This record gives sequence, structure tokens and C-alpha cells, in this order.
Amino acid sequence: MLGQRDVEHLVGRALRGDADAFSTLAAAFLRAAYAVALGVVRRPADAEDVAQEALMTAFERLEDCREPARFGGWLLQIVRRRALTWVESRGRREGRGGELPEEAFAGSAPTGDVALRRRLLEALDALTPTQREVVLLHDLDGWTHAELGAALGLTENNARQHLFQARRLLRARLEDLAS
Amino acid sequence: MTSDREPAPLDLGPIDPSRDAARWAATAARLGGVAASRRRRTLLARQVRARARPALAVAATVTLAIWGGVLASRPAPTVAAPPPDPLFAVAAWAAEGAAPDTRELVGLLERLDDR
Repeated sequence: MLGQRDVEHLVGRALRGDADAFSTLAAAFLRAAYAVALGVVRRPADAEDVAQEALMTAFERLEDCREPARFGGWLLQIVRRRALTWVESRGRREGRGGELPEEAFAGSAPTGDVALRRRLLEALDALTPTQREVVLLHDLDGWTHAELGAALGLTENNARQHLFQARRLLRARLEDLAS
Repeated sequence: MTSDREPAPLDLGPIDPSRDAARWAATAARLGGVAASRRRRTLLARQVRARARPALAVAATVTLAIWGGVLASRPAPTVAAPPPDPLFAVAAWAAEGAAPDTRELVGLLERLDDR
């Protein structure tokens, strides 16, 4: 994970049109964007699309990022908004609630992963939105409690508690689903 | 709750698209490339606009100056004087004692016919 100074420096270079800076930022934050998008849209393929679109939006509006060192937190706000819009339009398009359709479990996962992927996605439903974000950012993208707290507007201890609860609930739900 | 031992991290690999590292890196590079090219276009357009503004102002000033000069140097339009009244012409001939030539006389008669 990049430090705040590195991020600030990269944002500055990106604003001057530096392609390497954009690529480094994309590589550093795409998975976090995906994690937050997945917590909202709950379909991996949709989450990838939302993450990419949100990242492009953030890059296009880079001048609006008032604190370049906090680019990550700012990006995640854009991802959340984009994901919520996506869910709304998907609901209108498909005319159904939040249940996961069959294609949500397939996607690009290797065959052996499909069942586990299905269970994971169903288990994530048992969490609150904040718990989902915390566990996905921590366990998928390696964010620290401090980084989670800064990006999500939580204290470090609060972030730790959310992670604790999220893992416990996920594990219990996964055991239920497996049995 | 946090006094309990923290549960071990879960394996979220099955829902992690970055496990396909090559595809993931290519996606990030593509996004970075597109963003950079859009950013450079925006910067270029901004530079062009910034430079075009004073150039347009200079062009407008020069055009106005040339136009003003042309208008100032053009001679004022002259209004053609109306032909003298035939009766005055006859009176003038009589007063001067000068006989009109044939062309003047024909012109005078034509003007009288027009009345």
C-alpha cells in the first residue's frame, strides 16, 4: 500500500498528465475500488465494471480531490455512489430485489471456486455495509485498521471492532451454508 | 468483544479478480493509459484556450482599427444637384442676353414636357 506522501506525489504528477502516475494509482487502488463496489453490488463482474468506471471518473475529476494525500478515501466515495446508482438501475432493469442470480456466482472464477464463491457472496449478505467494506478492504486488499479508519471515517478501534464482528459473522454464516 | 482473540483472516480468493494477475495488471495499465491521454487532451485544450484568448483580442483590435481607418479615409458621399428649374434657366438667359445652344434648349423643352 502506498503512503500518503507517495499518493500525493502521484496525484500531482497525474494532474500534469503523467501516464506512469495514472497507471501506478490505478494498480494501487483498483482492488480497493473493487472491494467497496462488491460490498454494494454483490456481483463480482458488476463490481469490476463499477470499480473501473469509478476509477476513471476519479481520474477525470482529479482536480476536485481537495486532499490528494487522501485520494483513496475520496475514490471510495465515488465508488460507493457509482455502485448505489448501479444497483438502482439494475433493480429497475431486472425488476427484482437484492437476491443474487445464478450468473453472479460464475463470472471468471475457476470451476472449483464457483461453489465457494457462491457461499462467500451469500455470507457477505449477512453483514452490514460497513462490515462488508471493512472485511473486504482488510482481507482482500490488505488495508490496516488505521487506513480503514481514515478512509471510512471511523476510529482505528472502531474499524478493528467492525472487522472482528465481520469475520465472526462471515465464518458462522459460511459454516451454516457448508453444513 | 475485542478482548476475544481476533478471528483469523478469511480466504477471499474466490471473489478476488486480481488472482488473475496478468489480466488485473493489464486492466490497471489500460485505465491508467486512457486516463493519461484524456488528461493530456484536457491540458492541451486548456493551453489552446488560454493562448487563443489574447490572440483573439489582438485580432479584434486590429480589425477594428483597420475598419475605422477605412471609414475615416472614405470621402463623404456627394448628393447630385437637381437640374435648375426651366423657368429660372430661361430667366437667366434673358438676364444675361445669351442665346442658349441647341442641346440646352432641347433639354429645357424635355423638362417642360415632363412637368
